[in-house]
Amino acid sequence: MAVLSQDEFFAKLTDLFRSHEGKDHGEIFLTQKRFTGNNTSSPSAPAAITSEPLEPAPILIRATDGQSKEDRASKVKISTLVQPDDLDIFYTRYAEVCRSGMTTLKPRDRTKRKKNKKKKVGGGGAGQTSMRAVE
Amino acid sequence: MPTYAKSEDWLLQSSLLLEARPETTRITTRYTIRPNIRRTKKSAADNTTTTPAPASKTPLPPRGDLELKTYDPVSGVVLKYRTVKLAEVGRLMQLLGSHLARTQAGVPVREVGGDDELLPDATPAEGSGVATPVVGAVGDKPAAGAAGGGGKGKKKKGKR
Repeated sequence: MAVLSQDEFFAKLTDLFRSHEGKDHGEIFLTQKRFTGNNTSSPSAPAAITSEPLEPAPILIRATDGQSKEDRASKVKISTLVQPDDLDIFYTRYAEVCRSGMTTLKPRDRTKRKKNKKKKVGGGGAGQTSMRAVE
Repeated sequence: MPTYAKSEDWLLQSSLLLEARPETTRITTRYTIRPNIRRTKKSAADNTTTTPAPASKTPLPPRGDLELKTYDPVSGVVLKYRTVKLAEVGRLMQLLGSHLARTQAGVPVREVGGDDELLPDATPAEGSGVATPVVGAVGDKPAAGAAGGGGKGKKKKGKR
């Protein structure tokens, strides 16, 4: 699993989200963790909780479509490294890609409009009843 | 394995956990798409004996949800937060970067404008770097309660 550059990662992540558009099921996993290289791959001494400040290290970002073993041939699994200096730029773009890709979540505007319509038509709600009581 | 009802709580506990164990803790964001089945409406119709709407002919658009999970394999702590609101995604992903990823990377957390309400909660976290209280502070409230609470707040604002 080669580590991609940020531009390649975003391009593939956009493709990954797009491939899920119109489907009625599926999952996308995005993971982030501190990248400390291969030399510390076995965290055998985990007990020490140190208060010492950490050395800056890159963040490893992974994205996968969570395909099981049978579909491993078609599995999408991408990753990139983000240097500490690039975090802000990366996450701004990352948030944009995710927001535009997650199309099945509830949009904000529609719910607001519905609420307003209900208020106008129904005239229900606790606030308005209290207003009537005052009048 | 607490699932927090408020993203602020999740963020606070996650940043505590990350400060305690920044080298092993990982954050997973899971975006799930599920077919939209109106199970609840059917059962409600059975109970109240009202005529069920013939909406099942047209397939509903699939629903998605987003689950944020902070996991430390060493202590076994899992902290979760779930949302279905698209409006939250941008803010949450930004917070993943500006707060949590910075802690992971070992870079001091910089204050970001627009997230001011979260910072007073996050700042006392710096003093105590212990992971165990995280488990004690279990907030196993269903996410639906939180959504309702948020809705109430918005309504009040609108009326003023």
